[in-house]
Amino acid sequence: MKLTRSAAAFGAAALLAGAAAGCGSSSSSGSSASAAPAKLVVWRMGSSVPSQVTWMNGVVAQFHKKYPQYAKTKVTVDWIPWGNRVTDWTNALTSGKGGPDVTELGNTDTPGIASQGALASITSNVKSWSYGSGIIPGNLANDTVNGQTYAVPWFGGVRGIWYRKDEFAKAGITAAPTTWAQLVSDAKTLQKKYPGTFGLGAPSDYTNAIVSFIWGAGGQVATQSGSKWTATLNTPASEAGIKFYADLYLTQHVSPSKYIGQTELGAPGATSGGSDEDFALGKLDMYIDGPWAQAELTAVSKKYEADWASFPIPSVSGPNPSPAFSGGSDLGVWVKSKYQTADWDLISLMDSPANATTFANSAGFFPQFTSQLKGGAYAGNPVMAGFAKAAAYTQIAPLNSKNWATADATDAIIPTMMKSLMQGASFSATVNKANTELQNVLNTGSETG
Amino acid sequence: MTAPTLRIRPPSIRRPGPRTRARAVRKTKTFSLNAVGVLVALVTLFPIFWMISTAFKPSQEIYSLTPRLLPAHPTLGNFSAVMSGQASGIGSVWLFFRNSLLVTVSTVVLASLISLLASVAVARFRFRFRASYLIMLLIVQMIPGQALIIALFLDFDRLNLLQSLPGLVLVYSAQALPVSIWMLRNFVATVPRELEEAAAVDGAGSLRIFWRILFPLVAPGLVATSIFSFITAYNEFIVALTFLGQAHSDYTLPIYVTFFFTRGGAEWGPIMAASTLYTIPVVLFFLIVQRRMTAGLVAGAVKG
Amino acid sequence: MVDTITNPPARAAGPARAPRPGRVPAGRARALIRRYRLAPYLLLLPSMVAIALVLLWPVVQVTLYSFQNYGLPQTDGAAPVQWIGLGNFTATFADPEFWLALRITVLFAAAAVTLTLLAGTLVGLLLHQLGRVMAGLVGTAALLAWATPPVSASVLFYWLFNPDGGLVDWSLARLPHWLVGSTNWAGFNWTTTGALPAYTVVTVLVVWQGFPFIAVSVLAGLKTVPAELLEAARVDGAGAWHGFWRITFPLLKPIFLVLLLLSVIWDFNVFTQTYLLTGGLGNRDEFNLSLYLYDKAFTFPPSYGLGGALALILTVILLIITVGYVRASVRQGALS
Repeated sequence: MKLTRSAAAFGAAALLAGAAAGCGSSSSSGSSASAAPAKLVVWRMGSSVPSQVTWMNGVVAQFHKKYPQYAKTKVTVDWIPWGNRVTDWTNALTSGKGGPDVTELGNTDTPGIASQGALASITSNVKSWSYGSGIIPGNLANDTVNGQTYAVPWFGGVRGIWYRKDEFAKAGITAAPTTWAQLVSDAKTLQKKYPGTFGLGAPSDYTNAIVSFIWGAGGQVATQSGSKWTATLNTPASEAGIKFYADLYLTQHVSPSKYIGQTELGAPGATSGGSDEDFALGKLDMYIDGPWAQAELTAVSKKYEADWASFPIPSVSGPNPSPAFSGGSDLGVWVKSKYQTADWDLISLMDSPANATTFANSAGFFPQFTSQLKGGAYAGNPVMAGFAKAAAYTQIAPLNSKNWATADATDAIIPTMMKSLMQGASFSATVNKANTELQNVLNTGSETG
Repeated sequence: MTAPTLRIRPPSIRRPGPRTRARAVRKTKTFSLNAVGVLVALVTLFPIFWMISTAFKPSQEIYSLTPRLLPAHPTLGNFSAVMSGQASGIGSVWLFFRNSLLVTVSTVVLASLISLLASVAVARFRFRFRASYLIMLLIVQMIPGQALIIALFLDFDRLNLLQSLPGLVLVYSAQALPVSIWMLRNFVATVPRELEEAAAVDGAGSLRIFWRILFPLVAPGLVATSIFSFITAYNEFIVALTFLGQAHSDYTLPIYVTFFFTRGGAEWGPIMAASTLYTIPVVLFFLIVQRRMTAGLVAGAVKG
Repeated sequence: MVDTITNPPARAAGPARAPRPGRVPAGRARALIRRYRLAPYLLLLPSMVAIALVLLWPVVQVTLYSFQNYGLPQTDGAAPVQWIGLGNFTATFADPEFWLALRITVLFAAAAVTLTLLAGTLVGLLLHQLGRVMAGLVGTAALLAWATPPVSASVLFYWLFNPDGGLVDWSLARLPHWLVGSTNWAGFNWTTTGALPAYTVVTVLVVWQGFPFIAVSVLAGLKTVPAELLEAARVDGAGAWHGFWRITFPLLKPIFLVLLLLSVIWDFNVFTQTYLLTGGLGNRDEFNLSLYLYDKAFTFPPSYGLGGALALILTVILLIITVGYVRASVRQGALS
């Protein structure tokens, strides 16, 4: 009896083994180098949002219509969680397989990824592109390494502070805070008025917001002279910004302990439960993020949607806001893609002023064409109005330096520093240590590039 | 078979004392032991119970301020979200079931065949490097997967075996071998040589002896080693994580479950539904074969 | 049922010793045996090839990488491979994150091994005392915990210990004050706020999954302890505690030694659980050696040289422990 049973299992297993071998070999077909690809893979960052799927379907329809040679080309979108992007790019680059044809890149990633040879140069394509000259010049320069263009800006955005109009009104706050003192006192007022909530979320793994506080106190993360970077986290002004952010948890108690080690979206590499969810659910009164967060917030809860509004991150003593980190995403052609012409054709459609604007508006971003930003297009929208104000004061350096992806995405220098500060580590020792690390990483390989 | 020693003891050496008191003591002891037993069982089972319970809860109950042990309004919604592929965005759970099944079954077959051959050599023959071979097996099974993964990643890339199920089968089979051989050789050793010798005298060829005499007799041992290779392949994480990358359609179940666990905005209901579905087959498998597992459970735990 | 297990694991489940080969049968069998001279090597060939290619050759390669500057440009020939001597090792030893990861690894292994062995032994002793039905119940429960795949278990514990809706925080907040209960537990983030809470969760998880193996092995060992010995001790007036230390423990010592070594090796290596519970590679102050290695090798820019050096360090540490394991096994006659 034992024999027959296991013999039967063996037979079935052998059949399945054959099937496994068969399915493996079939997937490695279709490597013709001809111009019309069977499939183009686009890597998007983050998680799939229905409105963006609809938008992409529209672009693909245009792609098939405008370029009849691609009529049969399938366009697949893979969503890469932000936290995995570096590992996924790295492995795809090493192996030369399983990579995208077109990839979205965070604009702070582009210089580093490009200088590692992961992106194909699209200099001539951009030059001959009719819309190329309309792109905000500074943002295109960000995608240029050693005179070669490796990506085009797709959308941009700045972070500000989300709040709820109803909470502000009931707590008697009549105007958005413009200094740090006001920001903290408003956070405390809200926290007292709404027991069980926290005033202002300060996740420790949130470089792109922390830098705003450094800049808002008049500090810099690092400065460049020639090709040499000097890290300046431990100047008095930078330290004031770092200390203010850490103190939101440590001494002011307006941010809960659970945000330590988290990004604004929760634990890195884990689902649900970040400051974004808490804000949407009414458990957090003020939340730092960009307008693009709206899609995620409404996915959690639409209960307070009508009352959502924003203001720019204040500077230490006002009245102008802190410079906001000028964030955004680019589109680039993967260097190992076999269909680089088709890739560019697809990018040129995804990033046409019409499509890029529809996309930006639906997702809460600003398009990257000067022409689309003129006029008071966003003044009437309470959520966008604050962010549009913030967009007037932006900075990007040194977050666009070649080694920034290593400093931030891999070595997590600022997040690790902020986390240990919030865990109660000695202030100046921790900041000095981070400063030394940052300076080392930023200057890595500077003699060659 | 676990009769308390008190009962086995012959009456002659029983300590003097009133029978009733001894019985009362025995009863209290049995009662408190059983109580501890129930407690241990409950604590051990609770996490699994909570996973299943969450899988059947609608989302407002999952996030409710006062958690309930059992769903007040049980729903299959989480399971249908997982099966339709809506929860993960990369396909239905059945696709990943199929992948895991293919990988696991192929690994079990390949590892069993190879280790059967090797264990016959080790159990039936004396040869020069026998002891070295056995010690090598013991040492090799301790090399951590993390130490190999860098070289495996680069090698399998050159062999064009990344992002493919056969690539995983090769790695898993090799990883399962040392323990499988180590376990199986004992089963082979229990088969009486006289049977084979008699067959040989009757003129049977060695292949025939192998299939007709040896194989049926070590089949129970193969079941035990299969459990081990099954677990190796079904649970493996780091190699699959590194090899499969963004090849969503080749994901095995553990990579699928973690994929949508790490995907922002996913919910606990579908995640628990997916991990319940992932856990069920291996638990069922265990319960079915646990009578056979005698030796397998113990030795098979190596590298669990 | 678990209680049908009869063989202690240390003997690698050997129901009987292999009969010594060497008797020469008459007649045609002799021809077979002559052919058999080569037969063992032929039979071993497939396993040797597979083990050599997938398990041994990578160790050789990793060793080579650890003395090279092997990285992304070297994989596709964009830059030459250079031998850099001990550069990767000095860089590793100079990195405070390495020492932190090593400390976390060692402390975690110490805690997890101790607790797993303790819990497993106690449950093993309990199983030995329980009646058939109860032993079956406890045994099956333990079996289920052991059978749960690590990925499922990690995701499940993440949910149990979640600050938002997790059951553990909710329960802790409602415990009475004298029992660590406090509203501070509400929304307590176990997994990312620091290594101590994160590894507390990992320890609970590892003990939950690991104790059944210990329990079953101890139970199998207990069955070999002659009841008369314990009985004699009882007659001498020894309590259960003394009986255990004087009779049972010395007899089971070889089993405990093997279990100890195996547990150390496993807990030194934990990757799946720590990767999932500490947030991917997102919290560097919660890295153990495995996560530290993976981060060096597979995040941008990848350094297969540094990763190789770490793999070598990890392997050497484990090999030292393994030597102890092999010696313990050999001493018990596992090679016969």
